[in-house]
Amino acid sequence: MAATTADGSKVVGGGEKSNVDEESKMITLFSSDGERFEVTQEAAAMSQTIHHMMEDGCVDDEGVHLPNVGSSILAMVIEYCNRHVASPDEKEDIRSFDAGFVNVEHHTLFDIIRAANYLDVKELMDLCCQTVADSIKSKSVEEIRELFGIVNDFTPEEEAEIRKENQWAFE
Amino acid sequence: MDCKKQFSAGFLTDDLVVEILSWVPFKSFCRFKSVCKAWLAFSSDPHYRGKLPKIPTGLLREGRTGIQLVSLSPNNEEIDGALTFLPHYKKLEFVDCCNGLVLCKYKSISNVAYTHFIVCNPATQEWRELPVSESHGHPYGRDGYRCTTILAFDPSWSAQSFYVFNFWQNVSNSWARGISRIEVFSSDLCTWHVDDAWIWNHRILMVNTPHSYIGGALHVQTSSGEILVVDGLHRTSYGMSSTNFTIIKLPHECCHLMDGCFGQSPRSLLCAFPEECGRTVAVFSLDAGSPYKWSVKHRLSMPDALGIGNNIEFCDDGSWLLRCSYHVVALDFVRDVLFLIDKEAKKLLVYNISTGKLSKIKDGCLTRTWAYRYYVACYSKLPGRAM
Repeated sequence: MAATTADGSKVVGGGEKSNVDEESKMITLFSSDGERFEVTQEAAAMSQTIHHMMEDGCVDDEGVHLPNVGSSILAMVIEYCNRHVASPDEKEDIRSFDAGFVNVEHHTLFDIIRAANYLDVKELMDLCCQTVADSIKSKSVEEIRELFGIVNDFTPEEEAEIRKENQWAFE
Repeated sequence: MDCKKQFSAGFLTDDLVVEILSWVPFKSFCRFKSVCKAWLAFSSDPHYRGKLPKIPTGLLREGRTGIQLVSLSPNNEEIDGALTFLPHYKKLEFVDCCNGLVLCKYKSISNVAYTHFIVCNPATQEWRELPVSESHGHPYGRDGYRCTTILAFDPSWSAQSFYVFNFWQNVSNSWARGISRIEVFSSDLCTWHVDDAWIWNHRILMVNTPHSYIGGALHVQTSSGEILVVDGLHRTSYGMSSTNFTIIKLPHECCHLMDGCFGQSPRSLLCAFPEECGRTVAVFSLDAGSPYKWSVKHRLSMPDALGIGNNIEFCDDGSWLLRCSYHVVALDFVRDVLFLIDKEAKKLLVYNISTGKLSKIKDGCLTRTWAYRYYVACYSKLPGRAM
């Protein structure tokens, strides 16, 4: 799988062995399923987790292994970081990019949220959480349970009590 | 991963769920408390409580293009601060707000002497127009008389009623200066009554001053730096007024009378005033009882960032007065914060009482004294019945 660098050209992994190359400032990331991604250090640094690893000198010649992030999701996170690092000031473009970026199914959003949390990419976290929040705010309690895979553990009496306390919220 | 995708949401940890919930409107969040026990428990978890949606708050003011709500909490899009749900919102003037209810007025085109009042709840979008009070005709609608109108509503005291006070004051004639007539509208009786218990007192004058309604008693700061307390608002079964009027003094240390405000703790009236040229803000609590007593709750030292200093202004006649570079706009006991306006920089600031930290909320504020009223959303049904 290829990753896109800041200038839009594709970099295919598997060539150079050394990955913390000072001149092109690239870094290699490995997804949980072993896929390899070349990213600029600048884009990678949007992840506070990777940023701290680079600062503390924990990144070895091989690159960074991310056992908690699958390749399809990692590709999306990298796409996000690349885009945001490329032209951070073009607010309109970034806004429309973000809107298109989050136009995916809920389960994908949840996966991105998990990855963004693990990688500590705050802007991506906020974007996805806000997107999910907007899409669920008008949902009924039953729909929420279904979406999040939650089993109702209230007794009918308990649930009736809570609904009564917050009655105005159901109107 | 694909075969599990419909259940993948179940693998979201609690803190990620809270992150998502922190972005939903307060109303949705209250509904979601009945999803499961874990979600209900989030509100009581000290770790999560700070992130979760809270009751919307803000500052209401009269703006050039109508009424405006300066939002003080995130996710406030749900509150229509401009009151666009009211049919004549464009010609409305903001009068007052109290514990989540808002009072506005407009003058009818047919007869400008009549003022129409509307009480509404921006959170539930319910509203009522009050019947016109007779006094808005002769002679009280004439020059020389000012009417200060105040809304009183306290859902913790009585969610079933609200009151609107019209304090008619003669401001021009030095002989007859002061409040000459008080009318009270009560939502349960649905009419205006002239309060026959009021005895004219020339000293008492109030124009748009701080006020607070707590424990069934209205407290209004007068222009002479005292507080008029009005309680016993319900009428007896004979229609006799049982209203009681008392004057109490503000704490003697208060010198910046124009720069402070009132607040409420669950049981007492609070007031916050700058002192020592603004270097500190003192918060006092009124211990009810007789004789009443003020006790100091806090003395908060204000950071130099406020530009304190050079606060004595000399007048031509050789006298001098103390100036303060900011005023205290609101005191929120529950959220433990003070809101200030830096008059010079025209900024709205929030001061966190527990940490002593001052942060900016907004630029470009009105610096006119008492231009803002503190708003905290309320979701109970609007009292009274449709007219």
